[in-house]
Amino acid sequence: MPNIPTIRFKTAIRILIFFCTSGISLSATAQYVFHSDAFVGSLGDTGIVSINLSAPWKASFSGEIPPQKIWNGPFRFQSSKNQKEPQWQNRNYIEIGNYSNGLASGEWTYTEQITNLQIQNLTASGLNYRINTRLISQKGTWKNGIRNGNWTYQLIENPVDNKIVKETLTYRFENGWLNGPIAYKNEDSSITIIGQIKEGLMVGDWQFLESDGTLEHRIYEKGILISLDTKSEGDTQTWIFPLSSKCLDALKSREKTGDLTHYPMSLTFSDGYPQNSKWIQIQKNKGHFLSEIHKKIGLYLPKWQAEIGLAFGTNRCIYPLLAEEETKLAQWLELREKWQNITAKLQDTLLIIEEFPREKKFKEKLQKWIEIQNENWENTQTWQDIMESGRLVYYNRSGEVFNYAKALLKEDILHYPKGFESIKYPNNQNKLIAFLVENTQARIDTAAVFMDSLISIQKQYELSKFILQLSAQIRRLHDSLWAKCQRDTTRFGPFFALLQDLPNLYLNAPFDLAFQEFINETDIQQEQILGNRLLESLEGLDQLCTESKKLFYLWSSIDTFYTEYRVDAFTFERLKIRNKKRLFELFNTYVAQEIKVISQKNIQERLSGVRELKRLFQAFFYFRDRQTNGLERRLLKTKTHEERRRIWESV
Amino acid sequence: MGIRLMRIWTLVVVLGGISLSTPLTAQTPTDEKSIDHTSGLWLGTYTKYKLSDKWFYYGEYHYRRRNDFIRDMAQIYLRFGATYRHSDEFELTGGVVTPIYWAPNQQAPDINKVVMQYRFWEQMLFVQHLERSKIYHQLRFEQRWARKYQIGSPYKLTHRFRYKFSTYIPINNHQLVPGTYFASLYDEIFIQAGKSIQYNYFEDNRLFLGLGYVLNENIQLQAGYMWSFRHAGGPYKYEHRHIPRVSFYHSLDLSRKMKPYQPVAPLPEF
Repeated sequence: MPNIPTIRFKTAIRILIFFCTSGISLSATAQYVFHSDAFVGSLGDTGIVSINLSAPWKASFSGEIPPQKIWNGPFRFQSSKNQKEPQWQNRNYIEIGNYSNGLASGEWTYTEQITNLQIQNLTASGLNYRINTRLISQKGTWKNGIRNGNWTYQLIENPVDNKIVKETLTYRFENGWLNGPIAYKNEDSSITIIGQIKEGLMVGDWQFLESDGTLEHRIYEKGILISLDTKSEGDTQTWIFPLSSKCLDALKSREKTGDLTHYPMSLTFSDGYPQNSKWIQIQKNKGHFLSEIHKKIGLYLPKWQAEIGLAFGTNRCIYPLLAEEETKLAQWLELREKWQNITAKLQDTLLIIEEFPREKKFKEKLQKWIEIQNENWENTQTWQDIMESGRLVYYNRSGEVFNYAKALLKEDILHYPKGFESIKYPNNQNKLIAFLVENTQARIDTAAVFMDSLISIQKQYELSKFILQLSAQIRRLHDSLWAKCQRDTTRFGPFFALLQDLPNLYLNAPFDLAFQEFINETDIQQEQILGNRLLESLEGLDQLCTESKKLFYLWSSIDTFYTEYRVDAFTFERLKIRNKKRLFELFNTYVAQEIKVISQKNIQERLSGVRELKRLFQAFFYFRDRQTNGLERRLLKTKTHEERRRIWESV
Repeated sequence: MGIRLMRIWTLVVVLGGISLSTPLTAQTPTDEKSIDHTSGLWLGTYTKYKLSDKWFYYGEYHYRRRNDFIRDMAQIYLRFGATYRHSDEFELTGGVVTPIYWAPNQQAPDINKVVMQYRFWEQMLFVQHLERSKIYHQLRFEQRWARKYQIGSPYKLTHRFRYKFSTYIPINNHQLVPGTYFASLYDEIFIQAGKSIQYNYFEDNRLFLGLGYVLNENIQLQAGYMWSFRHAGGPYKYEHRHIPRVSFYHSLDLSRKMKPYQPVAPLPEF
């Protein structure tokens, strides 16, 4: 049991109120319970922490110490988790240590017991089951919040019964750096690894011994893999990793860094070797054991694992860029930006025309090309990251990396269900960065060509959409015209004649034929012209229809306006009496004649004639109560329609 | 007056008129009744000139012959009046009548061959509008100063009450608009009263059936046959008259003036 501090009553009340408001319940023994997934990474664990508090604080997880809330004294964290069907499992975790002024200090143990219940079968004699218990323990010492001293890791199966040690790891920290011998043994994988670490970097001879007798030696210097040899039954392979003279000079230097940079990026893709090169492949054989070791070192210390990452193993030989290369690099970085932007833009534009039924093959091609660009962009990102620091990794100028870059970038092979297509790029440069500049520019140019095609397609698409809309508009207008102008001819009176026998209205053909001609036109520009002409005709007819209806309304109004009703003196019958009968008849005769004349004209001339008639109708309203004998006399003297028109137009 | 009341009134008057005429003629069943048949021709012009929205000048000008339709001169009959049109269902008219009577027997001694008569007259006209035609109920009252043909006979006042039930039925149209032929039908009963009326209050019953034509909005023509059954003036003497009638109706609107321009409705805006 942890120490239970004595807390004064008022303080206890204060803490109680504080925790209640903070969502934390404080027990009578000054233990508190909270939920956290930070310790063992399992959601829903319930942990109990016992700690001497120098001041109340809001607990979140053990690794985070608020700056003004200091942890002091022994620390214990305990959590358990029960899992039932389908996998029965009990997990208990206990972390015991000590804090000094808020920093981990002294010996710490991290113990986790996992018990699995495995139901094997159900027989007449009962249920057959198997209980498997594993005990994982990690021990080590801390000094002022950093690891310092020997550490051990152990995995034991059935710790109570036969106690089988499955996995062990011993290593050593000095002032937070891995430093010293390291040994790892895995019973299940039958491998034993021993090696040395110096200030976080793998050094010296690392041996990988397997139960079948295979032994691999890796020689590291300052994290750089110098050589590798494997010895199995009758077979010995030796790999001497080529290093530049400058890199070798750097390795000889007493300085830790010098021209070496510690890049904890991956255990295998170190030193700028291409991933599929033989130099990397050979490292991968035992690489996952190194990963396992790394995981064990960070076990139960997620923050350490996440933030510090690789504590050992890799390094790179690097040397500064030449001035010319820096210029080229800047150019390449700029081009990369453009390359990515135009690729993204291509992708977006492609999405816009996704529904466009034509150009399916082109879309497929472009889609594949964009995918390759995205992959290549990712693949070359590593070089960018490295080179942005102003240095180049070993072998990159004209060696393996350059060859790899050329293999990767010289052409894009687009695979289709049936066959493939290759897009090739210039291959004139013999240096990496110059090649990258040339290649990236060529890709941008290619993308620009694609973009032009896409824009062209998009225009076609928009035009096609326009044609669709146009055809819908034409059809809609035609139908509405039919409803408006043809269905009920009584609304036009004598002016219906103005809507009939229109020459050339629908491209010299009945509407249905003209519409078909428009739809069937394959040349989209010509189709647009035909559609617009049809639409113009229909709009003209629509105007004519509207104007003719208005004329009839006006004409009817004139009829009413020039009409009076009188009750007959003898019969009391309500009689319609026409005012200005003679003028009215002259007017109507003229209108009837004018309708005949206008009906012979084309649509625009008809519209013009109709508007002139409308003007006359509006003027005619004013004659009702005016002296019109002179006008009547003038009209009666005329002999031709033209003469009458001149008189009417002058009123 | 409502249409229903008008119809009842029509029925009462027509039946009343008929029933009134019958017992009067059979007043003294023991005396012998004589009934003559005569014929004549009546030509008439009717005028109605609108003076204002409500007022009309009314005039009737008749030329009537008798015996074998046209053999002898019978009357020149001039009726003048002023009409006040209260509504399209009712109007009032009043005026004077100056008929000129030719003596039936021009060869008789001690007679004036032509005698004037003087009358005042008042008239109410009710119009019933039906869907296709109209029914007119005309009540006319006359104060007559009449005299006999004997030379020196005095003028005596008698009264006459007339009810006329008439209708025009368009034939080739729904309304009596220009160009319409129509059937014209009426029946008019005459009741007389006064100190000088000695034998019968029933004076006349005229039934007319004719054909009319509306020439234009001012002129219409009617021609038809009128059967008249009347008391002939002497005791137990009655007369059937068979009279073709030709009438000319003329109306004018003298009230129309040139009005200042004022649109009847707002001009449509286009």
